[in-house]
Amino acid sequence: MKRSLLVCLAVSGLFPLVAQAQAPDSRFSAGGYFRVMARPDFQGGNGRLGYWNLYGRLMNEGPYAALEMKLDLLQAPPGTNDIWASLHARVEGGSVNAADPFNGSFAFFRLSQLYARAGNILAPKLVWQLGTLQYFFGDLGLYDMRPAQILEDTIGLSARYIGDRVDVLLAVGDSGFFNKGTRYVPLLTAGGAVRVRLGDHVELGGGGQFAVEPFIAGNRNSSYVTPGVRYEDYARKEVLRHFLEENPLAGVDQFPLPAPSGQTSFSYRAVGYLGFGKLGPLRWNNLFARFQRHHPQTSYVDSWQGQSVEVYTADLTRDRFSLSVGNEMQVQIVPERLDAAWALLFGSDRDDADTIRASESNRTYLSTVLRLQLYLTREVHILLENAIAEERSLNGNLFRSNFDSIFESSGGLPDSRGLEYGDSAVRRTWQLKTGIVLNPTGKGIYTRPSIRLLYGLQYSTQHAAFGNAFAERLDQYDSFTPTGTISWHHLVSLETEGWF
Amino acid sequence: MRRATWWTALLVAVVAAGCIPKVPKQRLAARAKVAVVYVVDPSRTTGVESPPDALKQAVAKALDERNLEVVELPLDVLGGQLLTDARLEGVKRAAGDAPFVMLVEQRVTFFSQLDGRYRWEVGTNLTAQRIGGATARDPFELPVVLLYDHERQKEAIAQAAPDVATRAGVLMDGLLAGARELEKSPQGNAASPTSTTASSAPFMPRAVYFVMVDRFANGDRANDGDANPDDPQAFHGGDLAGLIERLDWIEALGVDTVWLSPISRMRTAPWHGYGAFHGYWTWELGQVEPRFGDEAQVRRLRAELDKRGMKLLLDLVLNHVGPDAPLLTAHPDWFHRNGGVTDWTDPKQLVEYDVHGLPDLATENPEVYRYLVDSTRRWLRDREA
Repeated sequence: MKRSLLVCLAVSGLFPLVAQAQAPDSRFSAGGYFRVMARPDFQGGNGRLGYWNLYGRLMNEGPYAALEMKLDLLQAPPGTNDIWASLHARVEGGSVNAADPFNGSFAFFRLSQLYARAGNILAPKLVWQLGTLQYFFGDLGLYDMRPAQILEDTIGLSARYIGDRVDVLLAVGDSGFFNKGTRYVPLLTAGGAVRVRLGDHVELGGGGQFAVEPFIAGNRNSSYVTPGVRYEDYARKEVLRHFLEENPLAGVDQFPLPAPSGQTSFSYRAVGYLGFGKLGPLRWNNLFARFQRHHPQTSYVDSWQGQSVEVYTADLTRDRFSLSVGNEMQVQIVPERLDAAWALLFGSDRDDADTIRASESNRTYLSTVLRLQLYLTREVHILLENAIAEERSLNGNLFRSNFDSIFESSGGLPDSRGLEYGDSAVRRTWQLKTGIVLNPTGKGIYTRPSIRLLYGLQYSTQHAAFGNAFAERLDQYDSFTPTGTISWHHLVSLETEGWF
Repeated sequence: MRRATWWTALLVAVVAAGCIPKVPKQRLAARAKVAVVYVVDPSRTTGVESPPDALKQAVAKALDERNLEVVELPLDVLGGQLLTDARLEGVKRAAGDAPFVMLVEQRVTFFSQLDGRYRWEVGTNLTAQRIGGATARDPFELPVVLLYDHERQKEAIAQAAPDVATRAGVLMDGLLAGARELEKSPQGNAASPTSTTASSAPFMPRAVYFVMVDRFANGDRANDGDANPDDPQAFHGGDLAGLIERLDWIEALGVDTVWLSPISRMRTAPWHGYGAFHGYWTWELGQVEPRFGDEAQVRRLRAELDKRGMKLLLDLVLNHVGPDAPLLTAHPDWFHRNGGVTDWTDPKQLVEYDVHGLPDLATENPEVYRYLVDSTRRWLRDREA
């Protein structure tokens, strides 16, 4: 009896604390991120103001949650160069009960990070990481984008030297599963990054990764090519149809067998970073750049009249490139009263083999977002954000400017064969968001957690430019009363967001 | 019997867990100094250094609101010591005429890059002491999310500063509450570190023996009342006299501290079928339960323990009173009366609602607080605070 009581009371924390040795450093800890919102949409939308974060992430994102756990396997005595080791795991995903169509389904969550770290093995200040290897130089907070990011697709081993002024990262691994999924082939990947801090006001960084796919004869996921495929047939997914039409006596079994591509499949990415700040009202400015060559696509399934063949496309999809340049600065306009964050983003996507299809693989985009935050009190703020963006398709019309342009394409002629969609090559978008922000932890544009009551307004040159349930196909068009062109979209959002 | 034992143990544990003192914000009548030393302990990448001014300013502001003036001492007063207690001794030696000392130890560790941010953890160990009196500690960790890579330990501490300062203030509230009592007592003045009788060295028990008074030993059958050892829910007759008789046996175990289950005047009738013998259903904190003895026996117990060089721990129930306590009718405004806790994850309910139907004291009410302090301190007269 007495022992039971003693145990219960001890567990209850009634014993006085034993003297602490210095400050605490937990062996296990967990942190994460969340955002969730209520945005009833009375204009037929899905609760997001526009299509994507090009117009600023605010009100264009859905719910999200992440939980990362860290367990120290071996804690080194503080201040020593003894060996230490830790495990990290992160689960994250974009579905929350009652906040999106999937109602918090775990199918939309994934174990995005899992790695072990060990420090001071072989050399002091050297950190080894085995597992997932994501590394980024920084964040465009207004867009929730990280152009200068590498190795998020790679699993392997990295070594990072963390010095007072210089960080150096070198890594090797495999990005095959990330890029190929169930069509896995190994993509041997090597990468690295260097970050240099010049005084207290300037940082420079650069890095990249290179992935090469060794050809494995007999492996149907390797870099094969189906001979004789014209690009337009591939773009229209009419390879099998034209083969059968041009070879009326042949069957699917006579479809050309894939042959090894004569070229090595590879991809790469180079990133750069310049940061400077702590100068007068300028808190910090981040400039990021990325140039990327995408890895070729392995194959796709082409169908015609109930028959299917695998078309191997390595040589048709080699020359796909992306360039992204983004800049964001935080400025203190009136100390303790008004802050601003201003960002610019430019992107250019190219598929050199594709000169006929209007798509996001051949486009440029340009955007700027300005957010002002006025502090009424330490906790109560007014937010005002303005965003302007232009997206330009380089291979013809990609956007529908009018509600009935579903029938038309360039020159007012319908393109019933599907390479052009819409009647404009340009989409211009303006968004304005404003409202009240409650920050229990104080001032700051990026101080979290935040509780926000926002009103958002979008004007777009595209008809109904938001995720919506309007007719998209010709066979739907007459089933629902046409609405007329919708250029404006507005929403009220009650949302919360925070890191913890 | 075994089932009843566990039920009782569980009930006592839950009730005891609710005994969290809620000290109102304090302010000393006369301004006093507090000697403070800040130390940032080394992490994997840095050595010992001093925290940013943002933390020092926040702590100074929080203490100023309590009429305490911070006197920051240099890091070298710690004499290179690594353990908190040894460091605190160094602070006390260098404190001069300051009647209070505070040691702020911190360690900052990097957690990971997380969704575009850099997450750090600021571990803090706050230790405060009224010189010659009580010591209070608050170890905790705060997560801090920074925006840029170049923001490191100092920025993490600066961001955590408001929370750290708030907790430093709350920690001092506990000490100040005691100090204010001393200010009013004829024995001393909190601002004078020489006014108390306590030893400056904190007592650390070697072994504690917990005594469930009613169940331990019956030394005086005259106070048994309706005790019935055959009924697991009834009182069994144990009392202070029985405990005193068996002190030699307890001492022979190597124990140097005896912890009594509550001996305050209490409800004695069962409640919802459960016995009241454990003592956690207090009716009157300032009186001894007659079934256990009287104040003379408490003093005798104290004297017997002193003879053996042993300490006495009294278990005082400060969160609530027992069912149908006379205080409920005498001072109906002393209780929250919010009903029972329904959500055990809700901190507000845990603090302001009834734990298993036990009337919850509104300890933020100064009158209640005064009652609790007075009732508690009467047992400490001429003893260490």
